[in-house]
Amino acid sequence: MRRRNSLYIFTIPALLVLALFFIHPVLLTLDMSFTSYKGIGEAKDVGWRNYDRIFSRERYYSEIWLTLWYTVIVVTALTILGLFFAAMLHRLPLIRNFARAALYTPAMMSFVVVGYVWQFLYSPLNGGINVALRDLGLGALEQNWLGDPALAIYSVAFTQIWMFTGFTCAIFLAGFAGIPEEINEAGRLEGANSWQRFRYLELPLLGPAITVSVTLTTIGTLRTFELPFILTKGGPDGATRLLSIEIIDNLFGQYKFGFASALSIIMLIIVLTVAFVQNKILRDREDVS
Amino acid sequence: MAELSMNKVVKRYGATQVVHGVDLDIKDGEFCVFVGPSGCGKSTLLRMIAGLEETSEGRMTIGPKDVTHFDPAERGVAMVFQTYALYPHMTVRENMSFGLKISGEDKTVIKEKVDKAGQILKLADYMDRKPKALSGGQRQRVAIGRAIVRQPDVFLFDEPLSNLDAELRVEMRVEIARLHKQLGATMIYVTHDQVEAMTMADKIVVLRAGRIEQVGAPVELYENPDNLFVAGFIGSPRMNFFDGEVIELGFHQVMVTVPRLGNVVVPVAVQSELRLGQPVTLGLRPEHFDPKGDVKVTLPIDVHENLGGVSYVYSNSDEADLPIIVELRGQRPPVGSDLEIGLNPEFALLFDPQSEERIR
Repeated sequence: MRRRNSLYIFTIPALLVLALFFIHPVLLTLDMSFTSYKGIGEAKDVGWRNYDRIFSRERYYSEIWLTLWYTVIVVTALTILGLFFAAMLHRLPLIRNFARAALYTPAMMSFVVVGYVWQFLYSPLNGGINVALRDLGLGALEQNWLGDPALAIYSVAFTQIWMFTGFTCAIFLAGFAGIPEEINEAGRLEGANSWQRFRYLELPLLGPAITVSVTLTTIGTLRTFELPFILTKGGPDGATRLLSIEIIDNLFGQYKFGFASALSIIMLIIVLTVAFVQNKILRDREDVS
Repeated sequence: MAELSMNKVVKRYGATQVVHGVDLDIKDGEFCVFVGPSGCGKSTLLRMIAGLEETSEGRMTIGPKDVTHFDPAERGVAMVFQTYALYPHMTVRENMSFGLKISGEDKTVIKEKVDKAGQILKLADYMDRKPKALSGGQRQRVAIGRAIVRQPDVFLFDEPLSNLDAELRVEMRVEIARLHKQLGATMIYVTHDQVEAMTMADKIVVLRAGRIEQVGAPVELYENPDNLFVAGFIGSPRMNFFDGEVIELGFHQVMVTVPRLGNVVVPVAVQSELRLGQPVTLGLRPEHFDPKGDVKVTLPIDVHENLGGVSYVYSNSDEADLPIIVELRGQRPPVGSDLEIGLNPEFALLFDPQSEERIR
């Protein structure tokens, strides 16, 4: 018994780091979320008033829904595109490594660089996309990509998808590499064409890679802040005001530390819940398949 | 069911040629075994038949069809892989049904065929299990079942038993032989285990470095090898080889002196013309040493391996790399002593040391 307990001693350094840099800040935030702290001066205890405000106003609900919708779009597109490119590249071993590196490059760039590049591309008059459309004789398709409230969220989502497709593609390529070549050869001998081999053999065996990819991109996208902040600052007319933008705005725009903390706690709960539920569903599916 | 024929078949990877113009005919219903050391091209040749490797040159026919450039699925072959290559996410039944299902076969027909294969292979109780819940032998049977249900013209086996333990290997060996009899199908089987080759084959193809060394029935290869390689490769323990010299010519017979055996003179029957003083390699299998043999030799005993029924004596010497191996029955001479034994010259074979070809 003593021996077994002594094993836990080895987890102490990790637990210390976790407690110091993760649990402690979360507790501090939780504590602050019950105050009206303004960054300086005294933190006055206001009880549940911050939370009361969040749940009694339509605007915060719609921001939460917007964040979830944005995540659904981005994660779905990342998963499908990543799978598509990985399936293609898996069948093209000659260009696989080069193409993987090329696809991954956007994910290595800073959000700020990507944000400003795409802000230029999206800009309504002389932006790259509209000029290209005009030059191709498709002037009718020109849009005010970031200025149109109905379109802005999808423009931002597209940038995020462009940035991280290489990331999911790399995860799926690793998944493909884990499938023994003989499985594919057996499928070929049995007359399965490329699509059938993908659909019936590779896709089910990619289960673990799908779980990893979906979980990581979901968590990343729910928390995303940089791209909408640089591209639209939450505008136009709140069309891209994700929860993270709201938090930053309250924190550094209006110095409502207490209220921003309450929003952060809500966001943490959402992220944890979504990640937990998703992981459970995907893992169960993996086991079945 | 169909016969298979290869005509000057070549495989190249870039500039490297790994199969050099193989000519081979396999009859309908024959059990043909490809055997040879690692890297001899036996698996490559099998994969070329399957269509998993492109044939660089030459022609290949299965039955009346020229399949040289056919897709794997169009060739009418089924393959059993060394690693079984079962689909891990499917049950045994789904694994066996997959090929039929995607070819659009009727559901009741699929069920009938799969049930029948399950029965033949004694898998009926495991049909709803996943491969990971099966033992190695059962997985191998599922892989064979997957091949059977498609009723191919030719079955291909790529070292199917090398992942099994010794006992199971013997069991499955018998089972595959039984299956061959039951189905009467053409089967091609790759192995590096010559016991499998000797026991299962109707015809053995010995390969070395991408070339066929000899084709023949197991006993023919054992008793009548064409060259030093086949003589040394077939048979376990291997054949003993001795450097010798022709010292006397007779009618259809020569006298060969063997320095390694104390310069004894061995009479060997040959048809071809030899000359006096010609160097030769004399081959003699371990079981052809015999206490009652006409030619007596004395060998120092270095190692004595007792296998119960038979035992093997290993005798080293400073001049040669490999020990002489002698098979004994009933005798248990102590290590370190000298073994007095005879040999039966009528079983001795002669080879040309230069070309390594048999002198007949």
